[in-house]
Amino acid sequence: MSAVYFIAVPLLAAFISILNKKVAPYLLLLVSFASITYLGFIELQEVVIGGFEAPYGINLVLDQFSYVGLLIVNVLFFIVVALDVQKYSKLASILLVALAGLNGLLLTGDLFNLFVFIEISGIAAYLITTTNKKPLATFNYLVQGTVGSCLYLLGLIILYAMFGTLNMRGIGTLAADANVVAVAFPFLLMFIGLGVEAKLLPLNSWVKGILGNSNTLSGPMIGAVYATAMGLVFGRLLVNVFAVSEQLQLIITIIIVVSITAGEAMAYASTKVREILLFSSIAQAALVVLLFVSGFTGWAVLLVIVNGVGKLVLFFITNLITEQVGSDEVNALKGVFTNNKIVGLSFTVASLSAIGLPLFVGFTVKMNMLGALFTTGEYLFPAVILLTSIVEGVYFVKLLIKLWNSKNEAPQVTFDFIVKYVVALIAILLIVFGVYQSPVEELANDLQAINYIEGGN
Amino acid sequence: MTLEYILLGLVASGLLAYMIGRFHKGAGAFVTILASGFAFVGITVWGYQGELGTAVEYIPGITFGMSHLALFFGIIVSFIFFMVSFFNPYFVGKYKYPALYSLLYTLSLAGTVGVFFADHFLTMFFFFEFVVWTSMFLIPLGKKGKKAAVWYYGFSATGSFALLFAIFVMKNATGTFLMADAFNHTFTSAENNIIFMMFMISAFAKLGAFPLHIWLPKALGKAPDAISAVMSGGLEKLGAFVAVMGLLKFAPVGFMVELNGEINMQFGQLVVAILGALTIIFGTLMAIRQDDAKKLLAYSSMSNGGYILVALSLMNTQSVAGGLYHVLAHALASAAAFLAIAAVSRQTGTTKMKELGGHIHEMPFTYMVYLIAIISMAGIPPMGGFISKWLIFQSVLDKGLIFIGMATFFGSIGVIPICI
Repeated sequence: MSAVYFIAVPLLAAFISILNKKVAPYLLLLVSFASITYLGFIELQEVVIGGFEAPYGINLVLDQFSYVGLLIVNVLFFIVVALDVQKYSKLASILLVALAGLNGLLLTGDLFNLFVFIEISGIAAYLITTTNKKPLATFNYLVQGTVGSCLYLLGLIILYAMFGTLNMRGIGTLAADANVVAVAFPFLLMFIGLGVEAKLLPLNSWVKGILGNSNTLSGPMIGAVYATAMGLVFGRLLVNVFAVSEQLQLIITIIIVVSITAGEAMAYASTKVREILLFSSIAQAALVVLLFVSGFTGWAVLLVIVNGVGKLVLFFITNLITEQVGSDEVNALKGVFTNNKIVGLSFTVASLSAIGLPLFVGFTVKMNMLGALFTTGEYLFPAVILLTSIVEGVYFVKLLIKLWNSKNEAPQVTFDFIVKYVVALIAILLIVFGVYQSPVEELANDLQAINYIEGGN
Repeated sequence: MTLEYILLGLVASGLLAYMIGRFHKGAGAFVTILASGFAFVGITVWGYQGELGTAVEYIPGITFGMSHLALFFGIIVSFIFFMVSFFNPYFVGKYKYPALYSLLYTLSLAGTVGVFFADHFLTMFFFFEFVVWTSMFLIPLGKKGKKAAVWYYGFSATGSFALLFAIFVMKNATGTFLMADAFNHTFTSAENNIIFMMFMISAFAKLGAFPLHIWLPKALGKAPDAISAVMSGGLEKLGAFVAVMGLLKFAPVGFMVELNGEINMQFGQLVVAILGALTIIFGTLMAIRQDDAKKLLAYSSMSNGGYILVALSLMNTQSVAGGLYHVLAHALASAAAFLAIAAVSRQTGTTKMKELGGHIHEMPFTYMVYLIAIISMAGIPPMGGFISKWLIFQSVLDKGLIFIGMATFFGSIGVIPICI
């Protein structure tokens, strides 16, 4: 039982799938399902690759943090793949590479290895977004993604020159004792570099082109699965590696506040459903980073999970509708749920959970998150979050009311049987954990205890 | 009988109403009568005998407490919901999602009852937000009111988030979310002022008082007819409840305003009183201009919210008694007036007053109800509105607040042109 298989098996399957195109989709489904199943048997562990101990070798860390991350990312990945595999069977090999990359991102305990996985998952992501048939947007994504990873690499090189190791735990320990001003620069470079994929300012302009033109595969994949993985990786670095100095804290604070406000404001101003969703995810991503920086690991992880699940439903339904209607203008979709009540209700539940209204799991997370932030004695962030929540609520409510009500003939949209079941099941889960809160709180408390990578050098 | 059973009963019958409503619209709506009747009788009968239990067995993370204030508000609001529910079977057929209407109607009542009887601020906030979204989806069901629902949500969310901010400030100071602890705690003056301000923002937003009133005429004017009655008579009173809590439990700390040995009010209280007076004047002036009967009543609702605020801000026995009595008097009168208009609009298909001339001969009974309601709102004896307004008027003058006294007087006279 080794955590290496989470990366090795999908990668191997990817190569095999190139040889036989017909088997590829089945292999994809099999491997992604096996990956989830395998999680049920594996124990928490640390794998030292090739027997080279850190700082000379690379290690994979399967602690509780990466375990929860793997579980949610693999489940979301499987749902997206299962719903899309028929339509996008050509992409099976690429999706297998994506799975290997995502699992690697979450598992690795080495900063350079992380860079490699960022690139692997990034290349897969660029290829997935080519299905949007907007080459310019994909190119833009590619350029920004590459600039981001270069910045990350640059920060990494500086850190290596300073400390002589690339092991996360090693750097975490050394940086804590080092001059905080000296390490602030490399950390800032890495922060901005990772911020590209995590949709943070200043390099998040790709999001509009990619998610604004997404389809049923690329929308949920980039908007939910990738976002979840990147959020967690960001959290890993912020909690375990970065030593946040006052200057860095100030810059991060500004980035977060501007990201949240700008994201919600842009979402409010948008008239297209996909744009509303993507701008809202920008704001949510900033919120996640804020929680990690403030040291509330538990609720940050839960926020990532709840967002990931919610956005999967929202992006998937939106893209299905858009494909059939041919537009995602809110006004063109008026009343679209009138004849699709189950899907409509699931969409509504996911939105209400995103706003953080009671009875849905988003409420639990939001309350605890605000409660945690208030304990710092700093009232700025809670005030910003609450004010932007009003805006967020208003545009979601506006959207929902339009999608449910129409004076004229509503556009005709049909949904597959399986789609209905999957989204309804997720919606029910959002309600169940919204009412029955104790497992959510327990998970958050367990994760809160993580402030270092277990095992290590 | 416990509160939990009442709440669970409401939620269960809401779901039942939805199921039944999918097959037969009217039958689903009929369940709302039984459900709200059950809630009203439960709260009133057992509450009055002091036998309404607060123990919670099944709902996780929720606790209740009993207080006279909660009982007072709970009885009024559940009564309004009960009375309005008799209209549901007749009106529900016209709405877009009749089964959903019955469900949300019952859930709103459950949420409102939850707010009043919560003894824990988070429980209170949970129900507060719960009422916001359940009632928000009721507004666009009448096929108009789509934008109104968004306005309603925006302002309600402002109110509830202000409340949440205050709750967390209190939590930071006291270490618990229990209401009793917060009420007995001595906050620093800075904390106290933040809490007070936030409670007031919440109360103003929910009550639709100036300057957070914009949603009120839109929502009440465009909502389904029965829902306008419920909002004006019931849901708006959540604002009054928060105002009572804010003004009486977290009196503002600042400098005293004194004029010739009179007035003697905290600056914060005076601001609330002045804003209340402005609400009265503004609401009345706007009401006079309206041609649409529902909009007119909406603005009149707003001005009555102003009375409640003025009364509570004075903070003496007489004024608070007047304010609370006005909660009752206005809840009854406005629900009656809105329902009368609902009946008229069902018969004639319009709420424009120009088109409604002469209907007194066709619907004399409805006309009488409307007349009595309006007389009560105008504060003319022997109606309930007279008693509350008199108490408020007297306590305003006792304080020496001449201008606010004029505003309250103006508000009462202003209703008379409306009657005509």
